[in-house]
Amino acid sequence: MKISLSRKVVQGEALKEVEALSGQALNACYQCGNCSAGCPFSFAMDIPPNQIIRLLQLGQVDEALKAKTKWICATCLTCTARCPKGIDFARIAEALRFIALRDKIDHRGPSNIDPELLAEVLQQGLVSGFRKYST
Amino acid sequence: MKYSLFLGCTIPARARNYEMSARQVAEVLGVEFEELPGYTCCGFPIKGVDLDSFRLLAAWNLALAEEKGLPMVTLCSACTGVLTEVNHELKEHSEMRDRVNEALSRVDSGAHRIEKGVEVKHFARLLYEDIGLDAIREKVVRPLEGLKVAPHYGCHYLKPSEIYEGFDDPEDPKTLDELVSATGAESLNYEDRKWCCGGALLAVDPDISFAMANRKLDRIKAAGADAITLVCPFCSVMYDDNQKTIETKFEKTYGIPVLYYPQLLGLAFGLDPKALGLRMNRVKTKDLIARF
Repeated sequence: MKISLSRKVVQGEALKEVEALSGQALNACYQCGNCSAGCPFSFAMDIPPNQIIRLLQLGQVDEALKAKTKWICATCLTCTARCPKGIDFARIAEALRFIALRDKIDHRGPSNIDPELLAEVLQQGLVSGFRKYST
Repeated sequence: MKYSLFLGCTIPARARNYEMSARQVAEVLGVEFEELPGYTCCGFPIKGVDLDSFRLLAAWNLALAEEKGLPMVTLCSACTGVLTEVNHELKEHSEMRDRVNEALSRVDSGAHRIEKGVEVKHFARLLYEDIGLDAIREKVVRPLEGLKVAPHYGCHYLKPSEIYEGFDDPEDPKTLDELVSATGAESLNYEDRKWCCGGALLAVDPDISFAMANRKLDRIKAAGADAITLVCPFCSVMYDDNQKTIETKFEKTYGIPVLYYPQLLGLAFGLDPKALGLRMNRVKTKDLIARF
């Protein structure tokens, strides 16, 4: 993957939006990788949590948004408990979900949900899932 | 000892056995519950949609509890997390509190507002801190000797730890283990005991969700557990309601009963299994009950 860096990109508005929505200081991360090592869901992620933070530190918000990671994060907070810098990755994933929903990335309306899934999944699971699925 | 009881949505709809058993053991321990008429969803499901509405829903419930002048007790770990978090935020940030109160003033003719917040406690924490292990042991008439129980803590019972003001250690938790031991049962240590149940991903990708639950059930089975005990209705949905599905999907046999902690405690208190809702558990509890 080729990325171009400039002050404009690294200190861009999109990055500030992620910081404002998550309340997390992204530059505090020094890439120890504890979050990804402990994440019980990393097996299902395309980009592990620490690399998402690295992409964001470099202003690559679009790349971070493209990854499935934000949807796979279950907010179990294992990473949050283990981060030596006090960063809450679950909130960063939540912020990315906010942006994805607003920008209609991965958009899927409730009417497009597979009827088989509808029959199987709990109503509350669905309501909860709307935050990840729809706008 | 009196508390206002916040049940949330999942428990009345899907986990009556949790509510029934909690009420039963509370009675034995002299814990009185006051109902919260007019309570709504805690706000958790819409946290990712709109933060203001999320806080407003939580605040509505916190305001109802504040009017009672009683600490609020919750059974669901997600409700506990959300209500504790918003309670904490509204205490710390007066601007946020003003904004929430402004929104609350437009509901129900402004009958409810947040002044100073309340104390929010998970029922298991109440048992551990306010009742205490000694008082619990005193009420045990049928020690569950020889029963090997795998405790599943789940995520939001202890995390994020800063909002729970240092209650237990999320990296090396012990409260649920000690509560299990108080019943006379053996609390098992097993690999990856702190792992998430996977329930949060059920609506995103059931395959990942079931894979998570399956991995943990494997470890619990390997540890030789006779039962799992937990304190969150969504974790129970994964391990109890979906155990059969997981068995079929991964061609495994588990058959491990999943009991809410108050159900386990109620058995040790000598209470009627039917009154503890043990017939409602999906994985049959009959053989386990017959042992005591």
